[in-house]
Amino acid sequence: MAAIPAPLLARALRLGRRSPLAVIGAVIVGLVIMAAVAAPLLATSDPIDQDLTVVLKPPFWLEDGSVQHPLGTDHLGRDVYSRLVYGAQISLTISVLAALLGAVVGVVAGLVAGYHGGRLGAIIMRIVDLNLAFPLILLALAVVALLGASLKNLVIVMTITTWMIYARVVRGLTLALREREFVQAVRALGAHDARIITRHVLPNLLAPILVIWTLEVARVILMESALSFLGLGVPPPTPTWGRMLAEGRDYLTVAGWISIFPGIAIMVTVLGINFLGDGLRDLLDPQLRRQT
Amino acid sequence: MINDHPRLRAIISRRAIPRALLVGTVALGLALAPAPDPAAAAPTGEVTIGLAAEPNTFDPHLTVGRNTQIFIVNVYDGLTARDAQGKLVPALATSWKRLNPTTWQFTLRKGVRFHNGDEFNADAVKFTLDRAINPETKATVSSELSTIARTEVVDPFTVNVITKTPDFLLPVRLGELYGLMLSPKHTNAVGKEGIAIKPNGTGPFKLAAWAKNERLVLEANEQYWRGAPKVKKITVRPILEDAARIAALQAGEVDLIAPIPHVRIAELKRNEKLVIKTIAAPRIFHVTIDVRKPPFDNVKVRQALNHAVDVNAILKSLYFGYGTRLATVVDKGALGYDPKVPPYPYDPAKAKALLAEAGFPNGFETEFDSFTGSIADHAKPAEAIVGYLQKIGLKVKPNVFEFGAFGPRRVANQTAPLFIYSIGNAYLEPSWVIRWLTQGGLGMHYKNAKLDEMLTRIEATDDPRKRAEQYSDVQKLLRTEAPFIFLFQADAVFGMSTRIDYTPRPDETQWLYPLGLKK
Amino acid sequence: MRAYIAARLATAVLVVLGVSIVSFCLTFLSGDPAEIMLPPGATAEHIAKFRAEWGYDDPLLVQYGRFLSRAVQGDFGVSLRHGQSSLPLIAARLPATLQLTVTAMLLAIVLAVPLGVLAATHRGGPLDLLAMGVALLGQSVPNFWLAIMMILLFAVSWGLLPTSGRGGPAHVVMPAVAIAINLMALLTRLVRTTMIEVLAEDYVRTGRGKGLREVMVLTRHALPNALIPLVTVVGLQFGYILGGAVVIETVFTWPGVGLFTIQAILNRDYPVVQASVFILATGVVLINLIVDLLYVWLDPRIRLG
Repeated sequence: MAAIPAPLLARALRLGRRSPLAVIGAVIVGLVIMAAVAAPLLATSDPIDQDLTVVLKPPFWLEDGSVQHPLGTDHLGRDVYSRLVYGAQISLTISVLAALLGAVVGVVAGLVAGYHGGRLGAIIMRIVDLNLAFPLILLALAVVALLGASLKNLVIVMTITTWMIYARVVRGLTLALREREFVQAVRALGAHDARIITRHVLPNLLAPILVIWTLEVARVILMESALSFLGLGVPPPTPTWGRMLAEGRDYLTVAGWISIFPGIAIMVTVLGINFLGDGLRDLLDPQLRRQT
Repeated sequence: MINDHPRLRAIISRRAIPRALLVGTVALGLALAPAPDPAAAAPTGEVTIGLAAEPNTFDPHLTVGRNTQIFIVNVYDGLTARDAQGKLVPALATSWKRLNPTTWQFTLRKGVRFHNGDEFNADAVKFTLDRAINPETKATVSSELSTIARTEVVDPFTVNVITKTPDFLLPVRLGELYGLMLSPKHTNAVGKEGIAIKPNGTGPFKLAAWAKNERLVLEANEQYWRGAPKVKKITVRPILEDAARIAALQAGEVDLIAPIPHVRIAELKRNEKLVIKTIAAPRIFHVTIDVRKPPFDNVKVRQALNHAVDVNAILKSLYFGYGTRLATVVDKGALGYDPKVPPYPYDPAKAKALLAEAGFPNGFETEFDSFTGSIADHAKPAEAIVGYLQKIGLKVKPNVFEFGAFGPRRVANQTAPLFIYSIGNAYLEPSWVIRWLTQGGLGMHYKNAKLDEMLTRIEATDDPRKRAEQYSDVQKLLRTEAPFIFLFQADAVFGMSTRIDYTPRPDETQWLYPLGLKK
Repeated sequence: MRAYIAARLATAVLVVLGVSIVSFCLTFLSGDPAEIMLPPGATAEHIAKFRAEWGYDDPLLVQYGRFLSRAVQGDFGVSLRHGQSSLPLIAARLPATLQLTVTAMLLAIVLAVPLGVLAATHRGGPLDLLAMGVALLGQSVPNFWLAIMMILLFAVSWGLLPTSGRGGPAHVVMPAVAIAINLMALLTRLVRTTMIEVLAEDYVRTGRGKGLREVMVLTRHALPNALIPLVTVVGLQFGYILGGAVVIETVFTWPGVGLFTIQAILNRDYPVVQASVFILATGVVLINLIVDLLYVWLDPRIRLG
């Protein structure tokens, strides 16, 4: 743990030279993660503390603004800057968790379908098809309507909309790997399936999974904002970027800052993640480019 | 058609309706239908309207939600109607009276024809009301007409409606709310699915075309018994997104829009090409308290909650002053609203003291439900209220549901101990609202025998003035008992271009008959 | 080949059956529509009566049986809200949605192909960076947000385009752009990678060697080959595009299936939700099936795999 292994470092440097966008992406993502982690330190006020005497105050550089609320206040007099910083925490938590859970479910399903195959594999792939056939937003909408909107339920919903993407790719790659000589050889030597999977198949899948995961994190952030727009996002007063964006749309022409800043935050973050994901893909697995 | 002459009609109405029987009417002078211009020209011109919602059907018995009821009146008429001030006035019935506690007699207007030329008469009334209470109709509005036992035709222009129990609100029910009259011949001919899209009423407009979510076209009924409407053609465009609806008005695509978020009023008022009108809507916002569950069974706790919320600040910051603070659940335009009953003042110190007295010096934990996607925005005020409750030391967990998911929870009594709600006082009569809010079920857990007794007495009183006086005590009782956190009613906001002339009605009804073009 | 098609058809039917179960369950588990359907004055007794009248007090399995036996005859029941058969209601809205989604797809392709080709032919250069930057930006914008911004800019400030609704060709511009933007981003990247691969192939190099002009090489030889995966991806993305249409139709009040379905979900209008989700999902399954079969037809090696 002391130092980054030399080959990886070298690869990273190579990536930096070859793909400046990936470096920019990494910097953006790093900053957002830092903001999320250090939210309590960075925030200047309580993100959910309302003060109806100072509603819709503009950012400090505009007339009537003050440094006390550097990015202005929203319709309940809450500090937009502090909400933005805490929003990073919530939005990232949802998206990272959902993409991770989706990865776990999807990878297991994909491995079973690809390695084991058989009837179980066929059933899994039919469920994948089924899941893919529904317009995801309708599915999410119906599930949120059913379960009610909460942080936990949102993670569940997002997981439902993301797992099958891993499952598909993992199945494809596993099928191919299974036929590869080294796997056949190990099997001929009498290795257990579990051992083959953990030792030989999974390591080869890590790179593509990581790439999909980054891109899915970005997609989930966008999806969360769309659900918030339809009124089914994380319930108030919890600040999420999607919620702030959706709430602020009523105030666009009179207090644009309420939604413009979270809008920029979403765009820049998603852009950063996409840059990074693209760079990772180029770096780790050129084969994957056509599959995702 | 002598009835078409406004003066004559006024005289007939004045003679025919005994003062005391005008439900919800205090001053008779205001009770008369708005007089059409006797020399009115033929309808001319076109107007386009942008609305947030369109009717779900033109079958008056299968309407869902206020949005439909408040619109389809443009095609139909009820036995009674409301005037621009919200007073009950004659429509298809020229007069009505109670023959005995359970029998109302309506005298019908002669010479009125449906759009297809069918004559309106007592048979049409009987047909319509029979259809409404027939289980096979599966009428959504049957609960509002459930007091009706049967309808009897006395002569071609007189009907008796017999109720199971005394129903003083019947003339209101049989007005624009649930008494829109159908033509028997047409209704039978087009069938149940047909009537939803091919209405044939007696109203000021005919439905000329309707593509759902796209446009709905109304055409002037030049034979209208009140006199032809002023505009020949009205196109209604549903525009769901607030920003897009306002944009359409600004861009001149439409001449009239509703609603408008309160935050946009000031900005739009500065625009010289637009006219913004606001009017108090009879929608009563309140927080329901589950009085069965401790600590809410303690009246001091409920009073503390009322002191904890700065409703005036909410009105100022979320509604920009376009709303009215209410002391109870009786709205300002309702009969018997008593301005002398003062609202709970905002006093967090007193709220904390009351909590301490009740044995909760350190507050307590509870939950608060709100919802999105209903006719009005409940989530935003709910958020502010939760913020205030937290400031007096309560730990409140907010839940937000989508309205369709919240409804079944309420019906099954599964809500959090606190939830925000609003009820549109369509009848403009407090007893209807209070009865429902204190029914002791469906999420409304407060029930009070003394209150019920007071309401029963009021409902047996025909004279609106005497009813009004009695409502004063009801409001005092409600205020002290505090079964709700009393909130406010918000103004409805309409935006229009300078080329049209329109005054919105105080009861939410989108009555387009008086809409005209400026010369 | 025939066996493959038969197997593929069989799985499609299975998936459609699954679709019916899921759409049925989702709607029913989310609570019954009594509260929304009845006026606020309704009492517990009225609600019970309503449930009985519409059969919502039957066991779920009985209701599903009723649903399925009707559905196979194309009858999804009468819309609770509109009082008319739900299938024709949905069918009447399909053209609007198809107009929007197909326009969006074409727009995405028309924008993505030159951008992708440009990026591929200038690989690593500033033009590549710019094209990729534009593409990724397109993938990073919440589309409803972009839609509202466009309304404020193009309809209110500049008065160039109508704000909402469906009418002439001008009406479709903003909603189509809002849907196309994400897809455009995806396709640009796809075109870029495939073009880079195709440009490295022998026949392209041969073409160049024979002295063909670069434009000819690109349009005659490289591009057609790069477009095959493009068409497949567009086909496979159809479900995704429909999802985008749901949100965008709401912003612009575009009278299509997406908007109608959202309203039906929010209003618990089960017959309409079931009809619509069933039709949309079946449509996606069919299109995926067609794409698969096309692919086999184009590249017979696939069915061996």
